[in-house]
Amino acid sequence: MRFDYTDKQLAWRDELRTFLDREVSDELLEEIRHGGSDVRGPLVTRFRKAVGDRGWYGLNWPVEYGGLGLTAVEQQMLIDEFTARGVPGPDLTATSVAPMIMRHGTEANKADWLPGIARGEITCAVGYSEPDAGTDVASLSTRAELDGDEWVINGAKIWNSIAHIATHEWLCVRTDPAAPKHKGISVIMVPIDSPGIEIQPLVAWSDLRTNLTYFADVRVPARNLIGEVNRGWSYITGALDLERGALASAMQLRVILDDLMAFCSTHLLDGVRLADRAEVRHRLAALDADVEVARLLNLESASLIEDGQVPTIPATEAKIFQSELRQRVADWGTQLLGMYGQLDWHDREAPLRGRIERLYREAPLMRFGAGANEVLRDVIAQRGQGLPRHDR
Amino acid sequence: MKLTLTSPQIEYQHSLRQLLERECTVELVRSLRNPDPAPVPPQLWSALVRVGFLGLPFDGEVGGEGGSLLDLGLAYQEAGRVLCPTDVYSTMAFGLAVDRLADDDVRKDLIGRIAQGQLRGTSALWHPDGELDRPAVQARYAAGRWRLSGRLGFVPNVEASDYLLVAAQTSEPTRPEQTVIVLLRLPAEGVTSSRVMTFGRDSQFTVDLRDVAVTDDAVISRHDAGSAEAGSVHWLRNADLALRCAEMVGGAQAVLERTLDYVRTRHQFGRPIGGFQAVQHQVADVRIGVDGARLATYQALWWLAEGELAERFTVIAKACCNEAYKRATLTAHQLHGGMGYLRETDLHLWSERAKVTELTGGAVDVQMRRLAGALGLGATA
Ligand SMILES: Cc1cc2nc3c(=O)[nH]c(=O)nc-3n(C[C@H](O)[C@H](O)[C@H](O)COP(=O)(O)OP(=O)(O)OC[C@H]3O[C@@H](n4cnc5c(N)ncnc54)[C@H](O)[C@@H]3O)c2cc1C
Repeated sequence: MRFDYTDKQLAWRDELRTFLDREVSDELLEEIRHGGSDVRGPLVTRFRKAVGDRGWYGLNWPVEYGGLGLTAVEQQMLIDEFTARGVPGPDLTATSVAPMIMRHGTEANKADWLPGIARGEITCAVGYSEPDAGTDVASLSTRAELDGDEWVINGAKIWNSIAHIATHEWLCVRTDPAAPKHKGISVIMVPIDSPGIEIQPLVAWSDLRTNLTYFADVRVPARNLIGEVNRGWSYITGALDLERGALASAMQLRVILDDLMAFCSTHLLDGVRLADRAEVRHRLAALDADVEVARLLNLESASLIEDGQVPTIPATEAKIFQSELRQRVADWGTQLLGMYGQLDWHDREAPLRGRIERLYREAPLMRFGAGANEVLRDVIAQRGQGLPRHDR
Repeated sequence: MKLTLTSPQIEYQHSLRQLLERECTVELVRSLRNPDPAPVPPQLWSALVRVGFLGLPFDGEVGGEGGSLLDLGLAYQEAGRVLCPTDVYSTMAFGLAVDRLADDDVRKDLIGRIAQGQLRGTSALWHPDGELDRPAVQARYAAGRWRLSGRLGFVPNVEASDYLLVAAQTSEPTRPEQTVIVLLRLPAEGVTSSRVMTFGRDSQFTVDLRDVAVTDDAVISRHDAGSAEAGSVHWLRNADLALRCAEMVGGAQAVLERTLDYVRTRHQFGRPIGGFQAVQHQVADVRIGVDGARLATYQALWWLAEGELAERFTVIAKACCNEAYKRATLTAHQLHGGMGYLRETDLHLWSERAKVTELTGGAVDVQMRRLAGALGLGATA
């Protein structure tokens, strides 16, 4: 056990910081602020290429797959440093899709997809959810049927984030409608520009664009099926475990909280220094304690992965704890700022450039997305604590 | 002691609900939002006149309906359900202040026109977070005129208002400081406003007063701290807060109903999601919060209508409503999943209003500070 970075890790952090000092410009940050994570402007594209050129999207992959052979802790450090600067790190394609291809894919799958993902050239929209299959994603009904050496796909995916900027779709489909629902699912890589795909925008409260994507007689080569047919459910759940881990980085909250503390200590609002109020100090202190716990839960997961274990329970705890903490940071943050807490980033006087207000709108998604917290609480109680299953 | 509404009150709420559902649709609510809001349509305004909403709490002799503050609260509750344009609230707050502070001629003139839907007003008599500190505006007296200077934050609907009622601190070399309440006809020379960009996309403004000259006629009240008139301002502040609470109760109830409709019909795992215990518990918690907030609000309104300051009851109501409305919206987001998170499905309109109404008049820390004061625990109100 060790609560501090090793010299090697500190050197890694320095390397990351030097890179970020060089590559992150005000113009890049402005492009991100205006676009959000659903827009890929020229500067973001250039930044992503610089990251890809270093192989950092696959930094924790084995060397044989084009990775750098570093560990989950180093990946977490990269995500933290990138988040602290407000620039995008590896997306789900690198952190969730690629590991599943390594674990379950055929040799052809690995050769087809991993090198491009490591370089950041392949990015996938993640197609699990459907209008009638949300939390119960195993009831998905998008169909794929084999016709000669091609899969023919029909159906619809909702909340299909980044489909409009991705190169591919990591698409979950039903390949055996007769089998029990968990046993007839497969995963297919679909080039997003295939004929028959139609992408319609949906706009979320956070201003983020997501999509409703239709598939009508979309044809892809048989070799694009990942691993074995009808075995997809375990690939999805594995990928979702990793997705939860990736979502749970506490760094975004740490940065916002630090900035909020600095604001309360230095700025005057209507002549008052907010940190002079006891209740403001107490709330900031309480949030600090929780953000610290969120960080520890994350680091425990990363450490378990480094030991070769699957951190289902700590990662699930981290996801629940952090998504609810996120809501609390945003809620208390707006309250501490009083009337100014409602100003959005369009207003010049908005504290922290409206980031707290935006966080309030971003927060709900993390609670119901990637596994609703209710269901994840069942996971902790039942798989983690051995309590009896209740009927679902 | 009896904590139920009378049948006329229930009937009035019911008819108002039907009217507002017809006249104040979500499409209308959307059209009024920043950055370029449409004006409130005359049709909605005349409907509110027709049902007596705008004259509700005022005496018959000044052109009102002779209802109580509680009656107005019941109307606010209905308005809150449908996210009624905030012009209604700012005009009513203005009217209540004029009614309480101005002389009979001014009252008859202005209240009559409010009740007839011919006048809109807004006011800045206390800090927007509800604190009754020294006014932010200074009033100097020179050559037979008052000159007002200062900056007011977060004043609602100034640009659509015919009048602004503002509190100012006098500074005269020979006399102790007093508060004056000044009625400004808009537009007025020296008064400028700029729209602030808010989460709720509602119309709030920063108002700058630069040497705004008014005669003594415009001063409807001039008083010392601790005087009866200062008590009137305190009462007005509490009345405004309690009415806001009623709006919040209505909003929270609407969100709860929407959520119930959704969890009854949305199926996952082969059953309505409302059948899951974890969902039911969340719904029950929202319900408990809303009912507590509703009773606390009615209590505050009732005592205010009796003429009491109702400091403790008002603060309790606001603290409850802040949490109840917000929890209703955040729970609704959780239970709606992706569907509630889309802009086009409208839930966010209530979520934003819940946050704005929480901050306006003070979030929970402000309320607890005041409550501790009301309980004699040391701090001042
Ligand atoms: C902006 C955004 C981006 C997204 N991006 C993606 C993406 O890229 N790819 C993708 O595949 N999906 C994506 N999602 C989908 C997301 O993961 C789903 O919204 C989530 O799985 C919940 O599904 P649902 O919205 O259908 O809600 P529902 O399944 O209808 O659930 C609604 C609520 O019901 C309750 N509930 C449901 N089941 C149970 C139960 N068994 N026990 C107790 N309570 C229960 C929970 O409170 C839950 O929050 C995104 C969603 C949004 C809004």
